[in-house]
Amino acid sequence: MTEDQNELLESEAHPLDGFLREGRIPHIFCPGCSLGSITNVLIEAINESGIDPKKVAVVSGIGCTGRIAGYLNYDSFHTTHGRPIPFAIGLSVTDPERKVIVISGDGDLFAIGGNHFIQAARRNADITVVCVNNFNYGMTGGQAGPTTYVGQFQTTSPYGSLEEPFNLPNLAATCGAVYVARYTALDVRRVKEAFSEAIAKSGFSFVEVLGSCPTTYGRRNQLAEGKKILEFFAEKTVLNHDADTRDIRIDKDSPIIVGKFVDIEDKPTLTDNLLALQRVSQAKKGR
Amino acid sequence: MVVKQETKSMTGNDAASYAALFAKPEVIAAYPITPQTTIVENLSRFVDEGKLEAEFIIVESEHSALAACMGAAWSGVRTFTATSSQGLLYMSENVFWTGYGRLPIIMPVVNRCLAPGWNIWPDFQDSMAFRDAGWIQMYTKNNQEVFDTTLQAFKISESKDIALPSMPCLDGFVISHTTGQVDLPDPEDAFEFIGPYDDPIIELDVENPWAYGSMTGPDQYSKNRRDLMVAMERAKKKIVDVHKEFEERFGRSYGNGLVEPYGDDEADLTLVTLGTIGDEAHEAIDRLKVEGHSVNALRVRTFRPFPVEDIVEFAKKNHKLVVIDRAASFGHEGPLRIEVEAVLKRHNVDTSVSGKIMGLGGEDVPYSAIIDLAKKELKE
Ligand SMILES: Cc1ncc(C[n+]2csc(CCOP(=O)(O)OP(=O)(O)O)c2C)c(N)n1
Ligand code: SF4
Ligand SMILES: [Mg+2]
Repeated sequence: MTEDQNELLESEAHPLDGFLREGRIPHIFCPGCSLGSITNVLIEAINESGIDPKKVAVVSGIGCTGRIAGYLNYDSFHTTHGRPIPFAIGLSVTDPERKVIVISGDGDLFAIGGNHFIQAARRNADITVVCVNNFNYGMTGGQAGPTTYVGQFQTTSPYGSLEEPFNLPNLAATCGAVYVARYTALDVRRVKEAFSEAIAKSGFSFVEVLGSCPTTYGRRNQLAEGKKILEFFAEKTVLNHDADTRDIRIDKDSPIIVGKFVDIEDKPTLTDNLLALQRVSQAKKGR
Repeated sequence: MVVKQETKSMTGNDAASYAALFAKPEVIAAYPITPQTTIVENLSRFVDEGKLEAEFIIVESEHSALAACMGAAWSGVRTFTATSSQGLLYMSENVFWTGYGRLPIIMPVVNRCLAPGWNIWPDFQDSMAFRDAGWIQMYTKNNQEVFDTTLQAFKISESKDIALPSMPCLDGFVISHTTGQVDLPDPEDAFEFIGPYDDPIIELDVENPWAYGSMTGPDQYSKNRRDLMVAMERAKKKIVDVHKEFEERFGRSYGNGLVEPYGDDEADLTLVTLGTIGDEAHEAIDRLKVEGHSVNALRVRTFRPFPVEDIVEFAKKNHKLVVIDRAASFGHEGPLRIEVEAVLKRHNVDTSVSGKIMGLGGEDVPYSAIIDLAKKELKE
């Protein structure tokens, strides 16, 4: 390590000073949780996008992941459980210039709020949705949810889950998302790249980040430290941008296929269609 | 004769789950929310351990939890769920359906305040929002009462002449997560008290098929709602009867089941309360007595149906009531105060009524705060 770097480490300033709400720190995340590094790269991606911070809104539902919005020094909303997507649509249509980013958990977005995700993707709502998939409901103590894989142990699957989980990129792709990527929290460089691309996109963009949750997922699945989960990701991850999303389901023994699976241009967004509808309606009435 | 019971120490949520275990519901559906989660976690463990033969359905939201219970209740089986706060709000469409549909589902509500301002601590804003949903609502003061009330709820709700769902309410954390003493009867004695649900209110019957929930014109609709009003009136008597029977068998009582007085029959000031503040008021009253003040209390145990007659009787013998609410009807006063005042007015009782809203969002309400309030009211 060079002298310079040492100095930086000891400095009072943090590179993200100004982007976090200091009064809200310390955060609630457990040691070894990946939500901190995901927050970090989300801020970096927003910063580097060149979008005026005043035009950025970050919306979360409820859960550990849901806490992220509250730590960010943008317009940020910690909404009700399952509803960040319709809330974000409201924010986005009122100002088409505004960049609205939803970041929330697998339970919030795909269990209690599942309907909104498929409808928003179908209608190509102009929002970016990031799901931190930690394979369980972290905040309420580790219940199995819709992304819990077969054989996974949780409080409500004490013998290993028997149910088929959602394959999130495939769900997003089949419902019409224009951008779909998946990476693990270990690969922060690619996560950040995906965030940047998703933010730059107009229309419904989706990034799944496989997160490490040592506390309520790891402990029950022989991965009791954040590092072990990241090692588990490292061992299993295969990068394949060309993968057919139908083939990338996750289970206990499968490889974890990551990559950018969908990147479509020129599809009218929900906002485009709302504006078009106004034009048609006015034309019909001869206005 | 009072049956044998064993003294245990357990949380309020444990007490609710033991009552459910002993009642042997056949279907339980649930979704986690703090501070309710441990009730259904206990039950899932009981099912897993073979102590309880029930279908335990894990669902993706509270809306589905109650919907699944509704389906089960309509098929004629004993049904249980539990929730709290935002979870109860998210269920709301089905909460009204259950009440207006007369389905005898038992659903403890672990009281927690409402967002925004995310906060997991207790107040009664959540259950108070469902005052008009056609559910029996009983507020408990400690862990023992949670067990007793939940058990009684099955017997009350499932009576054919009542056919109403029940919402036993317990203060989040103060009861739900605090360990206290609970005398548990043998499971057989508890079950015998409520009996099997073998003559259900509604039951699927292929020989005699019914269509449920169809379009209903104004005449029939208003008749249905009037039936519900009358059933609530009948429930008042039923609650007293079941409570009495419970006392004979288990040796515990809470006033007459509708209201629980504390202290002298007549006093200079009466504290009217709900939930754990009612328990805390005992301490305040005892200390005030030592200082020479004459204060008594009336804890409203059953909020729906509202114990009009008991409140009127108690108020007649007393001089000044101060109602402590743990919820607000914004634009008016605390809901309990509003109702107490209205009832006294209607029955021409001129005992004065004032009120104070305390304990919102988990704000602590120690006996010292109640003493301060009482002294202020005594002066005025
Ligand atoms: C309507 C409603 N029901 C239940 C809850 C309780 N609750 C809070 S977070 C959560 C699950 C969160 O899981 P997930 O979205 O995967 O987030 P994580 O904590 O894993 O990041 C639940 C059930 C709530 N807040 N509101
Ligand atoms: S419970 Fe899991 S997801 Fe929540 S903060 Fe802890 S490690 Fe992170
Ligand atoms: Mg999760």
